[in-house]
Amino acid sequence: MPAVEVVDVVKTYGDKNVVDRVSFSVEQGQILGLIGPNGAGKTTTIRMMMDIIKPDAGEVRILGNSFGEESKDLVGYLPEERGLYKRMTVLDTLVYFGTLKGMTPANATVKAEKWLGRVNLSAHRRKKMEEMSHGMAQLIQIVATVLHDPRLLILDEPFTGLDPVNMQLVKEIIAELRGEGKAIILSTHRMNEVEALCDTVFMINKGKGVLHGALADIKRRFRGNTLIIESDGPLGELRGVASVKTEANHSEVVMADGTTPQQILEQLVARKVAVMRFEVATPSLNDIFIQIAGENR
Amino acid sequence: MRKTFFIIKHEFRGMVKRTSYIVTTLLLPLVGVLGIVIYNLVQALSGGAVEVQVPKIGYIDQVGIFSEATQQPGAELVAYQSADGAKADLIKGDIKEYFIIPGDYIAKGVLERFSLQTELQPGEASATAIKDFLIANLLKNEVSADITARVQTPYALENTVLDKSGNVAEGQGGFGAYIISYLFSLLLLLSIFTASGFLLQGLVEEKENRVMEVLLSSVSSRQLIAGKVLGLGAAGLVQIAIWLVSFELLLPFASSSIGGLFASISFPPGIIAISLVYFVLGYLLFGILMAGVGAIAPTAQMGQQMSAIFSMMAALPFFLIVFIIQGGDHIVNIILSLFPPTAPLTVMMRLGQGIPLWEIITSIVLLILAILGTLSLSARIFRTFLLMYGKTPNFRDVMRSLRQA
Repeated sequence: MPAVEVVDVVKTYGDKNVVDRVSFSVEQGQILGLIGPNGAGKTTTIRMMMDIIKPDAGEVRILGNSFGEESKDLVGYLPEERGLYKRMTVLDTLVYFGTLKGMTPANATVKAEKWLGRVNLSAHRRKKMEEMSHGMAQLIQIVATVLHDPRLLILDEPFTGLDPVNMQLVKEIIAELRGEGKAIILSTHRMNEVEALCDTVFMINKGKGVLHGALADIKRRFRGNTLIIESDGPLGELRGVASVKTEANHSEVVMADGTTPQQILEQLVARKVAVMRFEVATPSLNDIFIQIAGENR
Repeated sequence: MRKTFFIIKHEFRGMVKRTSYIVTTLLLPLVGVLGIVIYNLVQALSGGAVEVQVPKIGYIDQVGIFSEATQQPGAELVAYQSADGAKADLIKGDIKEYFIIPGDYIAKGVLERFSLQTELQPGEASATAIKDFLIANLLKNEVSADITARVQTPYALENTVLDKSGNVAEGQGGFGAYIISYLFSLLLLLSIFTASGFLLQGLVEEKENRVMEVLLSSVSSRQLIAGKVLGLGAAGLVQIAIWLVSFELLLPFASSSIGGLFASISFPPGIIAISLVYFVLGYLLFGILMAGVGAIAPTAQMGQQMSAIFSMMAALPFFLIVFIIQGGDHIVNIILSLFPPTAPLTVMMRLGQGIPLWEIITSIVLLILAILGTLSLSARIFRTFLLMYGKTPNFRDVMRSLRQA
């Protein structure tokens, strides 16, 4: 059963369709990258998933049930721009947010202490939030999001403000949570993080879903007809090739229509060219993002 | 329900830890203590009780019968042979004023009075002293001293208000009762203004720093409003309780050392109980209304401006106090007592002079209905406008949202 299913949700402000019949789902133990240009409708979609705003049409199902008040305890949400109660202590803040997710104060305290240890902030638990640095506050926010052991996590730009060490820590935590079978939606503009962490990707642009599927499938779909070949000697004349551009240590071979990489490789093997590297140039998610966002402009 | 309780606890703790709350709560009793201390200090320094000088009033008797009863409670009457002597003493400041009793006074009843002050009318103390002095001398050979005293003061009223069943009624009116009911209304107004200020400020802060999104992803907007209003309301009640207890404690000191007005104040339990009910209901109604304003307002300042309309409504009974002081079931009083936004203050102020039971019951029922209605509407508005950062919805948007609700 999917952890979350978004089915044909629509949100209209005035006469503008901010989100237009968007559908996707996330399985348990899976990370979905929710990507899209600024103003595409990502945040509105997330807010509808969290029942903060109601969709005009469509439905959000959490673990097979329609989203209701009781579903809120199953979800952890880290909003994009965040703040906390400045005058409260770190521990009190975490316990308060934990109790609002249905935990008892005692249980929330135990879990908060444990998580603070995990993010190396135990020493700061009695300090006020206003004494925390930007990165520390960010870690505390993440702890507040996962404290109540939610089944679904929605993380909006979780890496903002983190130094490389803490960034690695958060990545490890996200991977661990996936290992525990939690479904995670990661909304971010950092395409390299999506590539590194996500199993599936959903791209939204101008309120519409424009790309959805497993990351590997998407990359295969967007793979071009360019080969990158590194060899000891010259490649020589090849059949089924539109053009060859030779760089210092490799050649970029653009295949003619109908030619497969296999056919090119066979020619090189037959000619006994020593091939050091043979690679079908795969576009990065960043390139795919720019291409789709550009097409839809 | 559990979540609402945690919000109540959070808001209550947040509020009572605020410096401004602590200062306001302690300031009132401190001012009371300070007042009593300063009064007693002044008394001690001036050597015992502050002596009030009885003013002297000069007179020239041209009839020839006014010579007795010159010591009156409000003044001492001093006889002069001539107007010139009296005038000289008046200018010197030995006497406050003087009057001439002309020879034809018995026939015409006219006195000529002279003083240095421009007045609307002679002070009551002087007037009573002169009247009693004249009566005592006019009747001294005609009737007994007792009759003279009765003529001077024909009656002293001892009032007892009965209810419809002939028993002594709970609200006996009088100055003390007035003081209590007006005091309660003032405290309610003060509490509404301070707490709603905090409510607005808190909501706008949570909107600005996006804590609101985390809150709404954990609880419903109805739970959030209810928790906030009840949490701040509980802090308001604690404040009122501290004020009441300190009044109870300070009152005996004030009435024994200062006396006068303070001695006439009492705390009838019935009035206190009904006042507390109205305090809580009034507080809830305005708290919920303010929460709605907090949802719409993009900044705390805008929120204060927008909430002014509700503050004005709460204070409206003070502008129409003339009707309330006159008492009775004037139509204005009935409307103000039943209309939920003005009911708490009006009923509290009317409690002092008695108000029909049906009006109290009807107004409480209407208030509860209004609270439930506004809670539902405020929750809708909250949901619709809370996340419209930086945008102020226009009147049409709000009305549309209310219609859809």
